[in-house]
Amino acid sequence: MKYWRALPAADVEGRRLLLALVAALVALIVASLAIGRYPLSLATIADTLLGRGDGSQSSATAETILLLVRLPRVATAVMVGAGLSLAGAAFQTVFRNPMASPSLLGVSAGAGFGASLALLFHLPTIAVEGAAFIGGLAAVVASFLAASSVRGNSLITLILCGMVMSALFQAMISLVKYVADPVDTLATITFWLMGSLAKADAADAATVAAPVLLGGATLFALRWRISLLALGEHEAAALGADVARLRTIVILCATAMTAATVCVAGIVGWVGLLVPHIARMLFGMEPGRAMIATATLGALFALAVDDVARSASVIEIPLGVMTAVIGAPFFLFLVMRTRNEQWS
Amino acid sequence: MSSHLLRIVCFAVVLLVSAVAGECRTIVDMDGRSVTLPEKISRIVTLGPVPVLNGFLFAFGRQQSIVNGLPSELARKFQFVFAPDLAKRPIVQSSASGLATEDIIALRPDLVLTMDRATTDKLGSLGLPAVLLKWREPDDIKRLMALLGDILDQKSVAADYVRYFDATLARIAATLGPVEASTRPRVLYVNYRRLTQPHRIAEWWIPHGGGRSLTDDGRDQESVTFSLEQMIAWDPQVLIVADRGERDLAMAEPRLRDVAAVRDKRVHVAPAGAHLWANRTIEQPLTVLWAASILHPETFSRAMLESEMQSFYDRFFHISLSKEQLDEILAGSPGR
Repeated sequence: MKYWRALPAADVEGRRLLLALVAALVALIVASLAIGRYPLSLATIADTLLGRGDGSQSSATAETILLLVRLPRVATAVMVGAGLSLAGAAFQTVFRNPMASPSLLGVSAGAGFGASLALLFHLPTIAVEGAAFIGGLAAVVASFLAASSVRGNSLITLILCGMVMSALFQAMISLVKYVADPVDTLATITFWLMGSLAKADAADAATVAAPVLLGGATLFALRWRISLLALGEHEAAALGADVARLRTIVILCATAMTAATVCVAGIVGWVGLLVPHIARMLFGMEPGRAMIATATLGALFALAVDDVARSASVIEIPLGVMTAVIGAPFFLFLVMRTRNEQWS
Repeated sequence: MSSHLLRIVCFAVVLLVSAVAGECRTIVDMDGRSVTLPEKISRIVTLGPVPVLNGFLFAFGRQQSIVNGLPSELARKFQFVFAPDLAKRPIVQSSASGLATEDIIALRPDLVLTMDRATTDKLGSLGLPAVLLKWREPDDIKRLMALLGDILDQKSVAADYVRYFDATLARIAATLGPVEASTRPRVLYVNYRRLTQPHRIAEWWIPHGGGRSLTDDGRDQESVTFSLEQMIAWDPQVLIVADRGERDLAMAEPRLRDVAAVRDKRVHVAPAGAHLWANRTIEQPLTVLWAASILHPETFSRAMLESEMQSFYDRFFHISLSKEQLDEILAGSPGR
């Protein structure tokens, strides 16, 4: 199966493109701090960031908006985008399947179930996030255990078990919603599952940043070995890779990153499926460059979408809904554009 | 002899049929469907938003006619104060198992009140006298009460409620006097956990109470969701939440510390009587007066509000509440 394009540009040109991408992300981060429903002038933003507030009420409000509302939200969006994209790319490589995404082994559904259960029992936010994380990990462990109990354990078996676990946890989410108090709790669960960064604070940013940075760093350190997995189990083993161990590490890292994003942002779909494809199309398969490009593009996408979600109108549009509305047609466009060239 | 017997039987049948026909009547519900009801309504089942529907019946003094209990997730303490027997009634709906249709049939209701079309259709197809009540626009409550007055043969009570409704609102408006839009306090009714304004009816009672609702953009949808930054940008002078847990959350949130309502400690919990006052409830005239009392305390005193509550519950629910009970209603729900 050939699902990527050879490096389209010369090495130097590729590096320039990557630098431009990183610069675009930095520019968008800065712009995002200036975008929002609360009007703040650039001078006020600069003064606040440099700690030159005049102690007035408006200065204090500007400080709250910038440092306690926008900055954590921007940081969370960047980490969510980068984490989901890296996890998606890792899953696609390990499973040698272009349709693989962070939800493949039931991570998203498991995390969604954990959070729904915590919301059903009116647990505090920290417990909801913890339950989401545990639910995500439990779904993957269950997928592994189910796959290992099948004779002739293979990647296809694992994928099938993942699909089963995903369906099972989706059904359990439905069960939780069914028994939830329709007046209040059901709406809370439904809103949470739609995905949103509306209340993201510094603690949320830290919650998602730790697994994403740690998992991302691990994947980056193992990038060359991971790239061998794309050749197939036997070929990778013949080239000296400990396939089983490597696969477990990659899946664990990707799962932790995905579960962390679901913890703070709910279920945000399409980022992990769409972004790795765009990154491969633009930057080719050189592992280090592809990883950086994937993380950067993912962060750019999530941040841009969240900027629209929070600023376009008085109504906050759920992030998960926005990524699906943009991601699904864009993915279809990519498929139509590349046709047999990459999907055969 | 046999023809004589036949004549007697026929006569008896005609009498029976005419008697049965005489005991029934047909009404048209708020969805335009014709429903045949017995002349005398003594057993009523309320389904869906049970506390809201029970509240309408309390206003007709029909606590004893309600034959179903309150689902635990909808239970409010004051429902049992206004109708103590509710605690003994069977519960025929729950979020887990939906409607217990056979139990509803076993209750032999003369009338089933609902607020959703699917339930009404389902029960109507089973031959139950299901009547749909609608309350979307503010004035629907008057039509709703008139219909119930007709159904329960208590038109004078319905007319009395409508008179009270209009008179109370007129009195509040006259006391408030003309308030410039710019001087009306900025008010936000919010479900803080979800960052949502959950009920469009608040866009009606906030201005009638002398405030300016920050979410009033003429929308059609029932609720609206916004970001925390939008909430800060609105800078509400008064925040209204549904329970005390939400008030504690809002007051402890560092990102809201510069919001006028939090800074000035004007975060109020909506009272909870038969139902949450901030949502649709028979107590809506009291909601407006309560809103006026928190938005314009210099004009509408707490004593005035308590006196009006006492009078309302006495006049319509036929119950005299103690000062402690009034305080408890005004303190709102403790929340989770």
